[in-house]
Amino acid sequence: MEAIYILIPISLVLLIVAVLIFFWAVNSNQYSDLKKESTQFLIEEAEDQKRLEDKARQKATENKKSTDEKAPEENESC
Amino acid sequence: MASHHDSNCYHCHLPIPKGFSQSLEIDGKQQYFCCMGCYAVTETILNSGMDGYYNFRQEGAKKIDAVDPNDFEIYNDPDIQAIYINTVPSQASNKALSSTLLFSDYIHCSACSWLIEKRLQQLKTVEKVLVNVSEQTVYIEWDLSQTSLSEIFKALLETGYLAKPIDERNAQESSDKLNKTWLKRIGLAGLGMMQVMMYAVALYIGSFDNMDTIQRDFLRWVSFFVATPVLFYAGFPFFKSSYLVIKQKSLNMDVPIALALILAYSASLWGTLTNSDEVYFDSVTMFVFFLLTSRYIDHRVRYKATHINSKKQGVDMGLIAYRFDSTKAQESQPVHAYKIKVEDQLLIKAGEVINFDSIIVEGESMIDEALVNGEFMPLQKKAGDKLLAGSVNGQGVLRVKVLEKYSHGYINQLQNMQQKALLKKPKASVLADKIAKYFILGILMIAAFTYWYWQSEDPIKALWITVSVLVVSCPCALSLATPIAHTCAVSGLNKRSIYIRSADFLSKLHKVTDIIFDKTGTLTNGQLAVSKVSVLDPAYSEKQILETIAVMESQSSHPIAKAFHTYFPTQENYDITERKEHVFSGVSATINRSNYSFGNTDFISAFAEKDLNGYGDQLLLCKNNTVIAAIELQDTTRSNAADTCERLTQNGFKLHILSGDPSSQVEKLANQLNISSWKNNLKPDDKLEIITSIQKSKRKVLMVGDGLNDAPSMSASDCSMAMQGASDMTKNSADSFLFSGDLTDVQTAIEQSAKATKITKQNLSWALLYNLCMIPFAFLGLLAPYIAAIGMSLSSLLVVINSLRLLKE
Repeated sequence: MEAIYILIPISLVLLIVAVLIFFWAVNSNQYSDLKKESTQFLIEEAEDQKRLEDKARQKATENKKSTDEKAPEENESC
Repeated sequence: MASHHDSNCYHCHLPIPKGFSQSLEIDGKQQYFCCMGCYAVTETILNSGMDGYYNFRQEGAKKIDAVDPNDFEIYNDPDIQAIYINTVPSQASNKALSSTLLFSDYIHCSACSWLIEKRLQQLKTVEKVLVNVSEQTVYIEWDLSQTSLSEIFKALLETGYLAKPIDERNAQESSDKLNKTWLKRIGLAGLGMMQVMMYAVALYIGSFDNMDTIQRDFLRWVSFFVATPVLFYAGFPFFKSSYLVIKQKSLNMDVPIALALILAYSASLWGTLTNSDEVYFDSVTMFVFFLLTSRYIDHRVRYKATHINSKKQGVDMGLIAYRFDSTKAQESQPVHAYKIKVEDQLLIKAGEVINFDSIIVEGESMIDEALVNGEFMPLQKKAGDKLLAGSVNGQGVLRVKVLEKYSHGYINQLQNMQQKALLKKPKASVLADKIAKYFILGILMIAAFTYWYWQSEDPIKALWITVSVLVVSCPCALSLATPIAHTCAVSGLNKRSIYIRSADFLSKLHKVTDIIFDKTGTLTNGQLAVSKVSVLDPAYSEKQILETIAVMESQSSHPIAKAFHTYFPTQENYDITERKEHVFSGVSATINRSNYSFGNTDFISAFAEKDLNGYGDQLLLCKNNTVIAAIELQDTTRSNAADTCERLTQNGFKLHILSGDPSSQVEKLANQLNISSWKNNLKPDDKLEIITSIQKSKRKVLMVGDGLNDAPSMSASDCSMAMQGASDMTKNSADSFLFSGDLTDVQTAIEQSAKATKITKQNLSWALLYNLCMIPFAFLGLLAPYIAAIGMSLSSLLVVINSLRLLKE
């Protein structure tokens, strides 16, 4: 039973951490608009997706451009 | 998510009017719009690459009213900005920034918030945009010298959000800060409670198993360590409230709560220090958590009902006035309503709300005073006639002279009357508070007696048994009994869109004996509809007659014309030319090469060959020179008004109709609904007088209404309800609102009130009975304190479960 003399103080430290995290969350407006947050992630996800796609497309066109540019060079070198 | 029918507008999902065709190609599909406003908004959104909005919104946008963007210039006036703008330090640079809080009831989902944040961040020097969807507010920090306030409004308008600044000077305490403190208190109490309960279980088991004292004391000290912040931080509201009430030499329910908390806590601390038998830290934390939770729910419900309403005031650009620079000037400038002085001349546009008590200088129009005095039909007013603030202008354009400043005048008189009525109103004291006074005195006396008795019998036990008595008589269940029942009853009503603003509404409503209804907008919809069509020429069918009138009236927004809009023909075989509206009298047009005219008897007598006596206030349709139909219009009765009135009468309530409308419509309606007590043509103070005279004969009055003229009577009545669509001032003086617009909810609310009172009484009797039965055992020193603590928890739980019955619909 001696374990409780270590484990309970640890649990108390964790409790204090939990309370501090909760207070921080409340103070940084995490709970002030539950209606918005419930769907916000959908939009953010789609935004990220779009950004990735845009980047991929840009890269693709750049690659294409660079190969297009390279191609004539090769021709010249021939 | 954006599912809508093809014949509806892509942006606002409203039906597209006939003949309007404006479309955009979106994602390879042609999409149509209902008006140029929606079209422009969608085009802006798409062109700035924010089309994601349409994929993620949860409902159609609110159709934007026609607003001239130049009107926002009024917010660039330094005097006006001083009201709305605060200065905050910038995080990025060391310059000071301006901040403001805007309100827009066009915000309704996170797609809106995303769209607004994106659009405003495109503006120069905007550093921070925070949109709160639940509160429908936008908070902005930016550099005012680079971007003017009006540019922000314009940017919002372009994306479809009409906003107004919030004047925060009157807000007593920032609701946001208050809400956060509540959440922190409940969070701490909840977490602390769970920990302490865990240690308590160990202690209970330990006391049977002969746990060794070092372990026991260790667990007690740990419990003490956790319970202390819970009591003093989370439980602070109870101490504050008891301190304030004791300072006024009175008692409320918070006093025994605070006392019980302090006693249970000190007794536990004493028990820990002196190695005595029992500690109650678990009860302390649990008590704090449950009480806080029920109070918080109660607070949120009332906050929602009051604050959202007060923010909406003047949201539809009501703060803008168009002032002529001089009495001779023809051009008007938009000016903030606060800057208008007496004698200023203003331009009142068609369909605009009149904000000032004023007198017409030039022009004539039909003025709708339904909200001001319940008069249903618009009144014809011309130069020299007075206008009351709160009425709505019809089709004409007016030039008026201001008689009273904004927030003075007629509305102000009504407000004064309402304040006076409120002061006279007897304040219903809450049942629990009444009990609390005697109860706490009783407890203190019993405790004192116990101590005195045991002091002479067995001085060592005296203090301990006294504490036992106090714990057993702890009014935990008693103090939960009323708030929990009230909260459950209120949430039950909220599910049906009935919102309660005043705390004692539910405890008073079931005692009502007389119910007073306003007419326009309460028993009726406040919309004219065709009630009778007499076809005089057999060559026409009723349908043809109505379609013909609908075609003639299709462009007008006069209440009479609106009654015919539903009859607009589906096939286009009406070729209409030379359409002309005659102010105050009617409309004429040429359809399929015949001349038609439609209007009142005075107007038609100019065309008709026949003698028109005997048609009264019916409207006539005339083809060339013959009258072909007579039509009677009536304000439509709300769909379930008859049912509701019948049921209320059966349940023994006496019904009255008190209306400001001078017409005979009131009598007709009273006969239709079988209400024998009715009066028409009443001024607000007449209504007030009638209500006080009813109250004098020991009867209790419920007032149901919507108009500004009902506000004073509502404050005087024992209970009041405002209908959906009521004016802001009326909503602020009513105890409750029926947002559903469903009259049967009056009956529902009364039933719920009776049920809530019954359950509160059951709760109170149980709690009292439990405490009274246990005190003798504790007094004799027979009750093991841990049994008292378990009993207390079970007793509270029973009260909570009993109250949950009120949540059922």
